[in-house]
Amino acid sequence: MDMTPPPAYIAQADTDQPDAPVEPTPIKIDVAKYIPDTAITVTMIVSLDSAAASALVYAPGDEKHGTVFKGRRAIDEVRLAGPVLFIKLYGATTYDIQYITYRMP
Amino acid sequence: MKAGLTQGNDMRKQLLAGTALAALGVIAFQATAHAATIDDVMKRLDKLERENAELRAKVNGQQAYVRRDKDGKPVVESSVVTHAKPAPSPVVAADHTILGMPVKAAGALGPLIDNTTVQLYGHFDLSADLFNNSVFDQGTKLGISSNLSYFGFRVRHNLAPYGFEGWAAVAQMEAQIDVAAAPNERAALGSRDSYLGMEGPWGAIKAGKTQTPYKLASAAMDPFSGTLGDYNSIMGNTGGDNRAEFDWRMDHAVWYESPIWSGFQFSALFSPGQNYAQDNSDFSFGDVGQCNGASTRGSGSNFPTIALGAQGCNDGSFGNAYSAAATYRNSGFTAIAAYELHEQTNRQGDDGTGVVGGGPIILPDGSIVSTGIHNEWAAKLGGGYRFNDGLGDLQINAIYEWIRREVTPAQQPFNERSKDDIFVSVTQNIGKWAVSGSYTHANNTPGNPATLSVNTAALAPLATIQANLFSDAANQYAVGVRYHFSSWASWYFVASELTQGTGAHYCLGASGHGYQVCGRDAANDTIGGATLKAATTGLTLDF
Repeated sequence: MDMTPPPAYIAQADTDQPDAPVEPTPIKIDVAKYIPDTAITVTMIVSLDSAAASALVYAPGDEKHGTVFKGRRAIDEVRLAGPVLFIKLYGATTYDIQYITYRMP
Repeated sequence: MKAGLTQGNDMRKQLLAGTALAALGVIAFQATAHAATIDDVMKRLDKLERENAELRAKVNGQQAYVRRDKDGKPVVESSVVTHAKPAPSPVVAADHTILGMPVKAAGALGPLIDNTTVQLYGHFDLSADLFNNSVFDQGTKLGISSNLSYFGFRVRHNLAPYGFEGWAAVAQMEAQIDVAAAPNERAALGSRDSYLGMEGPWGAIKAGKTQTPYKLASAAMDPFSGTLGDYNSIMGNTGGDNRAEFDWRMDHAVWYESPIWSGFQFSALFSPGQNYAQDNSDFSFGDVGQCNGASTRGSGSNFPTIALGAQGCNDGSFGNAYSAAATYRNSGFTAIAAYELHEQTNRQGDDGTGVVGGGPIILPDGSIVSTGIHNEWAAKLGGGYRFNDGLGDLQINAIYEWIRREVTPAQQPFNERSKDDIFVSVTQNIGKWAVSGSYTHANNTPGNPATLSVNTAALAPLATIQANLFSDAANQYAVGVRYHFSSWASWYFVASELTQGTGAHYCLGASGHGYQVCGRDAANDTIGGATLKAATTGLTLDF
């Protein structure tokens, strides 16, 4: 009788995978240090530690219209609604933000 | 991928077969050891089948999580996901469509084509104004105005998937929207900041038209921008009237914007004159019908009375233009420095030379006006500080500006373009309210080429005031309050007054408001030293 044990990946799946997806915790970003409070958008480069990762950056209360940054290094524009933004990381553990420019009304 | 799936099916079959064999082994073993009844055996088989089904479901469910390499072998992902199954990648839905194309209409960016996002945006500012220019035949008037209202779209093509991480090709088209006034060429497509360029870790380089770095450097310091209290009545404004030459949107330009390094940012712009005429008195290539440095269908444009070759661009038309600015922002502190040069600015309209059908202009004292063609430049330094004073954030700003026209000593008595300006503003934020005040001062200029009018019906048509015999210094005061319904909608009220020497002819609302309030009578005579007063209330909405 061949009693070959299950492949290793099944064992890992059983032990490492939880039952339900976990939504990332929003991380607060203070943009007021370098960006005028009257700016309405900011262009930034978000660097992540995985090519398969992505990040959602949004203004408070505006998550539905947030900007998605995909991959290790992506540039895009984020709408501002005050001095604070939030970032959610998907598949990344660290991030870095480089501000490129901003836009006034 | 197909190979991976086949391999997965094989492994699943092996798993099920192994489980079934193990079950039979257990049954056989127990049958000999305990001599169980057939019912016991059937119950155990049922139980094993249920467990088998559960295991199958689990395996099928896990299949989606297991990444495989090209040989179909599972890739261990524990280094990426150690404690939780990652949530699906965020998907920001496209709420709106244009002709069936998904487009984001509310700030963020929706997919249009691969790795490309399009943003629609705009700004509305509508005001009701009450103004009085103290001119004998004008009185107090009501007005409705759309101020710096615009609409545009911006396209960003992300180049990271093509091997250029952190880079994007960007384009923008923006148009003024004359919400209240009858639209004309000034509200044509592309009439405002429009460009094509590249953006990346080292900043952005773009070509098209844009507000100059000089203008943008201190734009945020004016709490009354676009209203009849706008600081461009004096700041960046040479000679008064309704055009601020150094608060400009430059056509046919190329520019660089640095990234923000620890709060420091630098930008520089170059705009070739590309003029048909050596003295910049004609149109620039590509701008036929519009003088370089003139407001469209406004001050300096002479539109449409001149044609190509008529050399009628003699009211400030310039050649090459250069503009640069450096800004530093850190926490509440702001510092700015900016410089702009307009080469060979043609002011022959002021002295009548070089003008078809023109001739020397002789002032009442017998002097012959000479203004000529010379470089004009401006520089400014500014600073601001924001702190919480207990009521809320208090913002204080101050700017000192030098504007110079490099004329010969003999031309100084007619030089109304060289002056120093001062601007200070303060804004107290209290919750959703912002209360602001500003003061702007223009120093006296070395001279003046104009003859202005006395403020009476009988004398105004004669233009008897020799301006360079009087002061043309000016002071502007503005106070206002703004209520922010949200970050995107606000209501404001602004009151402003401009007092000026007899030799001055500044206007309220230059370079921002939908129209300007100047000291002009019904025959367009310019009244010297008119005091201008205005109150305006309006709504703004950004999207």
